[in-house]
Amino acid sequence: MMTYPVEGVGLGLRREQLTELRQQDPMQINFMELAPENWLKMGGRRKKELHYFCERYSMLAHGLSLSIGSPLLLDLEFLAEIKKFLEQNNITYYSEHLSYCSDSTGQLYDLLPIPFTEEAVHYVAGRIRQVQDFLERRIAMENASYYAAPGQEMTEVDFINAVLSEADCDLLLDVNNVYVNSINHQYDAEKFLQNLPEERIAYIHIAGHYQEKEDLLIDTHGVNVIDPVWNLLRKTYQLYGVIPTLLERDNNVPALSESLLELDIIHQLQNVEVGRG
Amino acid sequence: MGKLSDIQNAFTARIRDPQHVIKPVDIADDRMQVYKELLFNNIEEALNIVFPICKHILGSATWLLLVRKFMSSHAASKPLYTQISEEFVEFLLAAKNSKMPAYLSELTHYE
Repeated sequence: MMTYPVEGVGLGLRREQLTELRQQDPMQINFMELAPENWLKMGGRRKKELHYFCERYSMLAHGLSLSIGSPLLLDLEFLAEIKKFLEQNNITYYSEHLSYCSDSTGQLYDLLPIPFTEEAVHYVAGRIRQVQDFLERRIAMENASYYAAPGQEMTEVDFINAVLSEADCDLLLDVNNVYVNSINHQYDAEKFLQNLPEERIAYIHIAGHYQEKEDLLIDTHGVNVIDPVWNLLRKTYQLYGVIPTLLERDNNVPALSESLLELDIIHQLQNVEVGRG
Repeated sequence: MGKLSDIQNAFTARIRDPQHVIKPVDIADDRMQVYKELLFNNIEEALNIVFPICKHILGSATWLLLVRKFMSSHAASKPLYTQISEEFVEFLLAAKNSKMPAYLSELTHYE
């Protein structure tokens, strides 16, 4: 049975909402999450602000730039900065994307699809182990959104299972990504959920996305969560019980009150599941 | 370097330089287009925020060509999104002797 790193409902920490967060100190937020890359180089006022939130909330770190699937060697200098940042801010849990953002030439600064191949399973799992050893902690990898599957040899869910098992790491389950990928690659989202390793799910991400075409969704985190994704969250709770869940919003960040309405929905879904159990 | 990095580099080479690199055969046109736009816009946005004067002086078309040149030829080593501007300054410094106006690298340095 998984011991979750946090409990209840969380909100991603966004600069646009810092003032409102301090003024309102909302009850709905049980934990928060930040991207270490956005705070690493900050000093002065920003650093103080960060300190306030890390003291006030259970804080998780969700990285962007590790590039776990890259053909380049792991950037240990960068990883050392991450390690120091986590220690300095008392952040107990770190996750990253099952993805890559640099090729043999260099950085590309956005998430790219790791080929679902046997070779990639061993390569990526080895690198996750290396990161866990370096950070001296267990980490979680998130199922990433992808729009193409270069060199595909196996299904996404088989790939994820094989990597997590060989690396012996946790899963950050992004329910919006499951939905987006199920539309973009025409698979059954519920079946995908059923095939995940329950004992490795550390927490859940939920977010909104943009519909470019009927069969092409883009994972923008720029709008509210849509009903089919709420339904998928409900199904996840029905399958695995209540799992701590965090709302992500990275673009068009709204007034805090609007995010809180979405957190209320997560609380409701969790309460329904507790009542059902 | 095995087959894995070949698959990856073939995919990213097309993203970096879609005019000169052919698309991997197993990727649909519209999906390749998604990545091409996502990555280019992401980098262009980062540079636009830091170098608005440079963009204004060059004009939109030349600016976009310059960003494309940066993407297709520069080996960026700094991992953070906020460091794209530093990489761009390095790229312009290295390109000083090419056809680029000489004042560009000084201007971006100032900005």
